[in-house]
Amino acid sequence: MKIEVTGLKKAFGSREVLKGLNLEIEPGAVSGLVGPNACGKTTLIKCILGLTIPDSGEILIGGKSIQGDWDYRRKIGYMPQNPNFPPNLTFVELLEMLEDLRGEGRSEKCEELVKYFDLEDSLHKPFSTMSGGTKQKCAAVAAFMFDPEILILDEPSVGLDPIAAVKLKDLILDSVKKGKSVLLVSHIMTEVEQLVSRMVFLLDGESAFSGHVNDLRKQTGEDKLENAIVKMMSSSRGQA
Amino acid sequence: MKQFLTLLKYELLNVLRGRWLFFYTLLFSGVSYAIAKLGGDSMKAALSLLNMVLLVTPIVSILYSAIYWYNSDGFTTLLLTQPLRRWGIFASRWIAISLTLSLCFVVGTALPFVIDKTLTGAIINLLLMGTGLTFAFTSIGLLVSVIFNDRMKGIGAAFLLWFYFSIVHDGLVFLTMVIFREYPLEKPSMALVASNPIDLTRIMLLMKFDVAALMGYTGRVLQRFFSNNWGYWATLLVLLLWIIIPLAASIRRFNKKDF
Amino acid sequence: MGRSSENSQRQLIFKFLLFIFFLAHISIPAAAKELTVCPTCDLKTPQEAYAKAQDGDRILIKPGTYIVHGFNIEKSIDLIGEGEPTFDGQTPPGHMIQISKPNVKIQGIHFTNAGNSTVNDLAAIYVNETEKCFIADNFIENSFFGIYIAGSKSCTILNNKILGPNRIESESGNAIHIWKGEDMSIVNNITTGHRDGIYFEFVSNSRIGGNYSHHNQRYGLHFMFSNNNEYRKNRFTHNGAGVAVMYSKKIMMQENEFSDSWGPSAFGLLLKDIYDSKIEKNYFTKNTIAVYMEGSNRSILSENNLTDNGWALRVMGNCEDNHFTLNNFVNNTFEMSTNSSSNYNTFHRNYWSSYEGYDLNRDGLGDIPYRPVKLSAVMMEKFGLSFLLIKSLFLTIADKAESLFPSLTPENLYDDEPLMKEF
Repeated sequence: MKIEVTGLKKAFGSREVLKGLNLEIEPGAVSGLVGPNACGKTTLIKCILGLTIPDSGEILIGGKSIQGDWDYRRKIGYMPQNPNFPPNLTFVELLEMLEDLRGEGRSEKCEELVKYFDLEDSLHKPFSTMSGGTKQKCAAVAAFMFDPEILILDEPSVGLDPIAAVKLKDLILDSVKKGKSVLLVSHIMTEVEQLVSRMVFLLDGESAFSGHVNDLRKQTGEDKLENAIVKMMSSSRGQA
Repeated sequence: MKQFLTLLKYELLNVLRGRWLFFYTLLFSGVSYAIAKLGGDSMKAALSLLNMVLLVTPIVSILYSAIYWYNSDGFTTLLLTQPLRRWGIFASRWIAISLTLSLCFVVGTALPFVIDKTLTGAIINLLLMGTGLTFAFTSIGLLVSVIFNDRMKGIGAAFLLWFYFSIVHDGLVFLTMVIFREYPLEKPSMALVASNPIDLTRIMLLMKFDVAALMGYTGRVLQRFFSNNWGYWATLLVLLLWIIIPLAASIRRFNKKDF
Repeated sequence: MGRSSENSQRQLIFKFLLFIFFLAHISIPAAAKELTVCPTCDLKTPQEAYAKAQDGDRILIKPGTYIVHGFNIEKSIDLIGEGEPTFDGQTPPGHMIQISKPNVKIQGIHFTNAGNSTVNDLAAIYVNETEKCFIADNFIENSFFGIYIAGSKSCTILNNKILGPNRIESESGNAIHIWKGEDMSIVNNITTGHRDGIYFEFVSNSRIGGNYSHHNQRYGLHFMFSNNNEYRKNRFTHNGAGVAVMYSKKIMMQENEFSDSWGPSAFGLLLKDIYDSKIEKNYFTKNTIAVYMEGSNRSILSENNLTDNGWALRVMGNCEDNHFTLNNFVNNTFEMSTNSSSNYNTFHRNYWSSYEGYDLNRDGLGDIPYRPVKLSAVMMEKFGLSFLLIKSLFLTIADKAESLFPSLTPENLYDDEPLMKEF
């Protein structure tokens, strides 16, 4: 499912964060969302999720505007950075609640994913007793369990042990093969290099680059993606 | 609708986890029991009960709802990323808090009287009004929480609002009466009193408790207001407004809020 | 022999003459008659029997309904009803029975339909300028004045039930009305439904006890210029304006009940220009104002219970030298209010339920004096609408704050040794 963002503007008080952003997230690919700190990455994601309401502009998902809509979130799986689960809730309670709230009955993928990430022992543990990494894995299960068309992953590998990180990577690639749209925010360059095929480069609330990774390499003249990104960031600072 | 009820279920479960609720119930039963035993049937006991209810329910409701809101910030964000209506998230929380607090209050206060079989119509009235106040101040507390992003500011504002409704408002009314004593003040005074849910509840319950010994000294408007059920229903109506209007404002605010 | 027999003869004659002398002076009363009246007897009406009666006779009236009005009793007779016969006045233009001779007894009769007039004072029983009448056990219903006594003394009104027609105040008379009386006994009557239950003007040295005066339009008891009377164990409840007593001295009121007088002009007990009196051991409950005193001096109010009233005491500034002691003030909304900042009365050792002082030396007396006039009471005087703030947190705090630094409440109105427990 395609995400189209047109002319997105958002200001917090006097501070303009998004200044007329245009971009597209294509299905069947992992789009990396990159940019320096405070460039509007988080705000963009929040706008897509409906957590933040933009001042103007349009966001279309699957061709439909999300403005005023809440049901579209059915199609989105979200892995937040530092998931903030209710501390007294157990993992299984959370899963049941999510299923219950959605009203679609039990998720078949759920059990699979719990096994996949070795979380069976953690099912009846309250979140307050979990390590950061375990919570992260739980967040992954929650994001993928309804087999959503769109996956928005914000720094998903941070805190994951190497095995889990690999498993997540495989899961992401698998989803892409099935035609899902994945929006990945990450600072881990190796991860970006491995997963990302499209890139959205945000600078100062605007899209400095949106397209295939190879085009970025050409534009910056750098072969290694990491260098290409660095060059983009520093050149912008030079311009600014 | 089903979505809303499911949400409500989970919100209730979440609220009921709170350990303070038990102490809240215990507080009311303790005081209610003490008053019943020491005062018995007398008006003095009834007045003590009245004062306790008018003092405790607003502050507990407003502070509990604000603190609960800020504490469940993560939960709120989680819910917001799910395919759920925004207003449903808010309203279910409002109901969960109001209902739970009211239940604690009613059960706690009524228990000693039910056991003793001394439950009177006056006490039932008191329970009804106290519940109304709980709902109203939960609405106000949540409104404050939605407006203020900062936890400290929000809870501080909640406390200040309670302070205003409990004490400052009456001080201002009093000042108005003193300064404008040359003017006909009956209707404006009634309006001022109606604008404070605590005052309104207090007067209505005092009338029911028969401190109407003083009715001889009120003007005709007041007398008419209190002498028949017109005043009683008007009080309920105003309380209802105090419940609904802050709630509506909160939901509007919540719908547009950035998280 | 001649002389002693002459002596004893003379003695005998003397004794015989003495005997005759005494005989002449012993008035052997003619035997008192009892005349019976009943619908089927020879004497069919009380009036018929009365015509035949003499002083000292007894007229016994059997059950039945007899038309009685304008019946002037000018003989010292007893009119006794057996089985409560009914005297129907048929709303006459005059009194039903008028008594103007002493030693008349009216007992056990049901009076109804007495005369009604707002111009003349018509009564069921009217006693005029006589003494020693005895009116007992009657049921007087639907009269303008029930029993009206003028200019008489030493009468007894006992155990009567006087039920008025409950008309509006301007069209009602009083149940028991005495104008100019002395040495009266008004005991155990029930007076209700009239303008005033018991009304005295210029009545003295009388005893009023055990009466139940309730639900009258105006006063349960109202007297003026009536000194040296004793009021004991009466009950005055639910009267439109309570009880008002004025312009009298040396009154004793003991163990009476004053309750349920509501409204701006109703008082449990209003004392106006009352001097040198004693108000003791009475019960004042659920009145708007329990005791109101104006222009009254040198009286003692002690051992009374004032409970659940709006204002317990309202003492105007023109009262002096009254002494309040050993009273229990329990759960009144305002314990006391006054219209002046000076106080010429004393308060000593009363129990005040709002007193929050301590008693460190455990002598049962509070260690700090108590000022019963609160800020909120003063404010209610000046700004009647502040009633709306009653029992609010603000006013409660203001009261407490002000009592610590009295500036708006009368400073020298205090009980120097308040009791820690009810007396």
